Amino acid sequence: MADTPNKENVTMEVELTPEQKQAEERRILVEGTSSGLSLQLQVVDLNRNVKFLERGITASEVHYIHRALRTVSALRKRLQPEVLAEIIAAHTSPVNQQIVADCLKSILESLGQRPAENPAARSCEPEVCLFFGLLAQLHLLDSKAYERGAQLSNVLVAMMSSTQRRTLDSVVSRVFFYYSRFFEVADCLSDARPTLLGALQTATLTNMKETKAMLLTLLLRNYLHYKLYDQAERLAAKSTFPSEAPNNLLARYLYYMGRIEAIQLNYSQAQLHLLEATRKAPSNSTTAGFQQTVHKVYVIVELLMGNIPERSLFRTPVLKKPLQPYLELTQAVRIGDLSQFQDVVQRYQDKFLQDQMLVLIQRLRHNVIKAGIRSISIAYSRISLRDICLKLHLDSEEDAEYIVAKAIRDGVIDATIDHEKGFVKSAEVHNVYGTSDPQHAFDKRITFCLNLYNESVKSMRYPGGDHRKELAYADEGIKRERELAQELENEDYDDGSDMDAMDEDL
Amino acid sequence: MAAHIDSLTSASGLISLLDEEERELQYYGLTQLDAVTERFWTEISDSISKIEILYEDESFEHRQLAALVASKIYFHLGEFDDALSFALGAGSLFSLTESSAYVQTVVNHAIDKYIELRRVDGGPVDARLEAVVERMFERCFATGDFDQVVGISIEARRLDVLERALKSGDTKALLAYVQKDCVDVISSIQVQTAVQELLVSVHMQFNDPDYEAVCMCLSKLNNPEKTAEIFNLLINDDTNEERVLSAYQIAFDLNANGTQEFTKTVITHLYLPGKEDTACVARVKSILSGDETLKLHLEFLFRNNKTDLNILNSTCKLLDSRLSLAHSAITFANAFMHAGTTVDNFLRDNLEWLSRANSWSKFSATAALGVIHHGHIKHGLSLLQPYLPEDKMSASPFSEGGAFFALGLIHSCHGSDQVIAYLQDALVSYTGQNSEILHHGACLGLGAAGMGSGSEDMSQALKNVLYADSAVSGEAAALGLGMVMMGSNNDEILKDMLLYAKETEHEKIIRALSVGVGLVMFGRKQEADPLVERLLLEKDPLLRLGAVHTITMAYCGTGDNGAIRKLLHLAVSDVKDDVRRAAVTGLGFILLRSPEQVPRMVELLSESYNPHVRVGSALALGIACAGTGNKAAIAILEPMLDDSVDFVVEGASIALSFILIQQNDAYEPKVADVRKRFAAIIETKNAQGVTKFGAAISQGIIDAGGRNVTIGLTTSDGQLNAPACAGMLLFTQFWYWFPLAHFLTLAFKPTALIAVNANMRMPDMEVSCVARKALFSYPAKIELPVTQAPTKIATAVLSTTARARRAGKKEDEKEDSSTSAGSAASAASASAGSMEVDESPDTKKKSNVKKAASDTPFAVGNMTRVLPYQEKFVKWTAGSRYVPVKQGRVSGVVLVRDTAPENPETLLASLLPESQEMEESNAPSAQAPEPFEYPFGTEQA
Repeated sequence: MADTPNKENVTMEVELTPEQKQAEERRILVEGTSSGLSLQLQVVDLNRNVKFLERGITASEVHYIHRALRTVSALRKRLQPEVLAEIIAAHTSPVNQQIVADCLKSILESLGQRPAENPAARSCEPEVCLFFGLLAQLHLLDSKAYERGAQLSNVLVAMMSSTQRRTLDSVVSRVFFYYSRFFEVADCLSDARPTLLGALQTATLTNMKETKAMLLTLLLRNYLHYKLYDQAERLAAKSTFPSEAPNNLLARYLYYMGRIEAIQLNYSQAQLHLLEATRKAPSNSTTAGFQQTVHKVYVIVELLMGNIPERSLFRTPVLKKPLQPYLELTQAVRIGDLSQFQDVVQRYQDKFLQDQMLVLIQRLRHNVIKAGIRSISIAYSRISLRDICLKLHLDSEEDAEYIVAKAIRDGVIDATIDHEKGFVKSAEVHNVYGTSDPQHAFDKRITFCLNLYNESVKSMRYPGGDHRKELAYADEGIKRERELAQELENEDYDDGSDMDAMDEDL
Repeated sequence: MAAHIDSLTSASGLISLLDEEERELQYYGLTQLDAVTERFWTEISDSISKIEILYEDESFEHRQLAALVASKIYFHLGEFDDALSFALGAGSLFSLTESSAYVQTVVNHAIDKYIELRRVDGGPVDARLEAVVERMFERCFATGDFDQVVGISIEARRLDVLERALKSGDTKALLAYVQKDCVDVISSIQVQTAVQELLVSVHMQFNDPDYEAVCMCLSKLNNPEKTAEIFNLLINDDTNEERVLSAYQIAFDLNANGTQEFTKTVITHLYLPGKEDTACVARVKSILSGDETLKLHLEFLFRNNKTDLNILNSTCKLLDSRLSLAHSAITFANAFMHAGTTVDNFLRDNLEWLSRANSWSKFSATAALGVIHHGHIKHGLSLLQPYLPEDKMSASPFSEGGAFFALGLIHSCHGSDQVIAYLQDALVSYTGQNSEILHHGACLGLGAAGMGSGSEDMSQALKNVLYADSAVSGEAAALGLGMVMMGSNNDEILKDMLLYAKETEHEKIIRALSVGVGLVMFGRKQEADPLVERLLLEKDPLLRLGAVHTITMAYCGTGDNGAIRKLLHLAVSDVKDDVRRAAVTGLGFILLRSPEQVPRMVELLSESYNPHVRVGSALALGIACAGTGNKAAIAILEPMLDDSVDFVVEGASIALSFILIQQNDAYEPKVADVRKRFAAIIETKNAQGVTKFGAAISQGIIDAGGRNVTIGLTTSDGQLNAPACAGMLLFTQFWYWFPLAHFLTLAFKPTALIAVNANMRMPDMEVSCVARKALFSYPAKIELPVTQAPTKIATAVLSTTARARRAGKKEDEKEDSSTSAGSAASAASASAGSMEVDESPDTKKKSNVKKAASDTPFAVGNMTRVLPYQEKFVKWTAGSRYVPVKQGRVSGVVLVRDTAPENPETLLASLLPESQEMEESNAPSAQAPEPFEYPFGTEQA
């Protein structure tokens, strides 16, 4: 458990475009050569981010703010507290709101820096102040100063609750993430719950969509941490996850939902959610941790549903090693070998416990038996209960009878039991293509594709006024045409004037 | 206990307490649940029914607590209606003083609900709800948030609370706030009236009431008797100079803002026993009747006329006047350029051109005299005498019909009894085959002169013409009827009009009736809704057009969202192009007070595939942003000048001229380009006639009234100017009938500073303007490039060679065109020596920078132009001899008080030719123009 959250929170950061990556690498190279220069570059970077934020506020355009936040992960790696302090000092103008000024001060204190006087200080918007707070949080988290981090987070949250602006949304959501993280590393996550619940209410009322999504995810995580599946399920049922939430948040939300539903025996829904979670999460090296965690649950849920995951899944480079125990588990279930299954569970018990999977895995025992029965029923058109008992290592024939009866009732196999003679007779295999099953399968896939298409259309962003270029082009065409028409007409006119002259002569 | 609750992970234990038999335990459970709702609402909401049962159990002592818990849970679930109803059930437990999100949300919701209930007349309001709102009011009174109380009480129609708020706060400031910002946005006329009445009564409780504000309210209430009383009070003592001056000022403002019916009734009620004939009373009467304003405006426009005749002359040369379209274009351009200036030199100089007018273009040309002499009421009839029919014998119906129309335009909104009787007489005394043309002119004239008078006689006379069912005269009669009954919402007239619209077969009449119905509903807001709904369902597109006009006029200047939604829907969904065009145009009227919204709203419509929607959006921009020089609007309109459809270019030209009227290129650099574009369109040989027409009249509009008027759909007090709006709507009907373009005159507003003393004389005085002078100067006149012709001939080529060349290579072609362009350019530059060339953009930037550094104030004299955007820079100089009666007023007619009456005054002499005759002034006399007659031959009709 300990290593997953770190990996998860990596998914927070959106991937960089290739150009940005190159620029980043270049900058890191430069950093290697001279540290003084790198400090200056950091100042430049920070200032640029502040500018983006301010532009976002004045134009109330969220994408500028996102642009500033996108570089946070890059900044995090090489941010020096001194640099941050310097920038903050440059923004401690006396015209700042009291609350912003206090907040800036506590950020500086938490960094162990003195509030410096700066005569040419600029005023500081709440968004910018929170952005500094976010960077400070990151720094404290990385330098393992958890206590100070928690204190700072409390200050930031207090400030956020008193300023409600739509442009704050993205920054606030991130600050909350680290707020909750500090509580988690201090192992007192439940203390954060009331604050998060209150904030959720505010975010719902003020329509801060990203923050709402973040808080819902954090609360689910919070409940799951204490295995309060009931509470988590109720929260999820009674609130709607904002559809405009960023994909990263959505992926995590889906993962938590999948886990909750798996525990509550709602496997098919869980499988859907987990599958979607794997698809929504960006698949690059930074999100490997998330992919691994989701796939672990996914594999188990698949098994619980009586499906056997594809073998190729376990061969994926990222998943190969962490999913090794699950592969063995799958193999045991597939052949329906109960002893092998027990053996695997025994061997990897610690690992499963750490993944919080043991509960689900123990439910699998039935599935192993069912799988065994199914393979038997496929192989034999008629088999005695005794043989089943032997093959599945069951204790008695009666046990076998019960289990088979249950399997028939659950629709796992299509067979009848002859109780008097003590054998099981499989029914003839139906032709699935004669039923409507394929239709349903196709329908499911088509719906999925259509949804995917609709969502991608919705999320497209068109640059404003770009079509004007085309119009200008068309206008040129019209103008040319007109010129041509005029020339032609002039020609006629010339001829006509000749005629007039002739008339006059006459 | 607290520690115990903090460590809870589930509320199920507390919930199970509710199932207990013991009341005590249930109560305990509820108190505990109340404390943890925030954390466990998800869980408690599953058993909300248990809590509701407890609330409904009458025998349960703590049912209010149950209601509070239920309310909180519903709040968390986002069900605010339920949350509110349970909060009401909680009674006093629901504490308003708490500043939690829960209380705030529920209170907001309560107020919304309350307002909604109060709006439905007679709707029962829950007493508990009312109590919450009352408590809210009390809290606001206690904290001094009077603005909030004012807003809520107006919305909720609680005039008692409004009155209390007005009296308890800073009354003067609040009164001004309500009068300026609140009254106009009230959508229901009854409430608006009630609020106005309340304002008057509050005003009158002061010892020294603000009579000006009171009169403003009274004019809106249409209460002339009480207004007259105030006047009687003010001028009772004619030695009290201050009061008399303020009476004059109020009279001027009332004349500008009120309807002519209103001012007339005020005049009849002015009665001071024993003092009937003092100068003071006579003066107030003459001001109220509008004579003084018109005289002053006429004086201003004549004195400052800066028309550039060269523009007109060159356009006249380029357009082939044998085509009636082109002829009309010049007529309108000339009329607009000289509107109200009484300068008709162009007509005198171009008699030959004038003689080419025939039939309806002759009608327009004669009517143009009315535009040029607009407001010249003293000599209106005598001026037009040569064109009016003599002895009731019609000789040339088109010019005579035009003369009737001209007469109406001269007297627009100030129809004297004599003129109205004359026109009314014309409606009955002519019969025969040509009478419909005469009737046409007379109906339009009567409409203009009797605008908004609501006179029964006039409407009866017009109805008689309408029922004659002649397409030509019926159309004008329908429009006239609309104008006369403007804003009256007269049921009978409306019924007649709609009935006749269904009966008649003449499209022209139906269309005119649709405009007329719109005018009748002017400013009636919600009252027009049933009519609109009915008309929208009609199959006949012309009646749907009527619905559009009704929305447009009824909600004119209100910015009402419902109206905008309806128009936008019609603009994209109606099957008839005319309806769509009118709907988009209507947006301009509705948003004319918030022009900055329009560009964004019509941006997409301006790129519609449908040219009618495009032209509509152009006009909407023009109307809403008229005179503002709005950059966003210009950015949308400029590309439309290249549109492939001729009438879109026409609409865009007109709209641009509306927006850029009176702007000079130091203030808005685009003006020069746009003017050049107009000239270029007229020069282009193969451009469509309609395009050229648009460009020509745009040239007229952009320089309208000798460059001294703007388009003023609102008065300088920010009130809606009803005749101007009507004039603008009628102008847009030029699409169907060119002579209606003349109605634009009604929308022209002189931009002048006219300071007058108690004797209605203009003292020679100055105010200062702190800004760069060039920003507000008149645009330079152009000079005709005379030397152009020879250079052009030098580059002429034979058509055969041209053809040969065209067949040649592309490069050749390019070269050729570039050289010819080059030669043209050189020709232009050769002639540019004397031309006033615009500053290049670079130098302009520099000068802008300079301007910031040194804004030296310059003096603005009395009777000179003060542009709308200049007003904020103009200040009355402190310590000067003359002090304005109305503080801060720097445009329009301003009464000034002489602080040193003992010193001799220097007065500005009137320059108007006829006033000199009258007043025997010895100022250098400008030769009075010779009377002349249009060289129209007697036409065969």
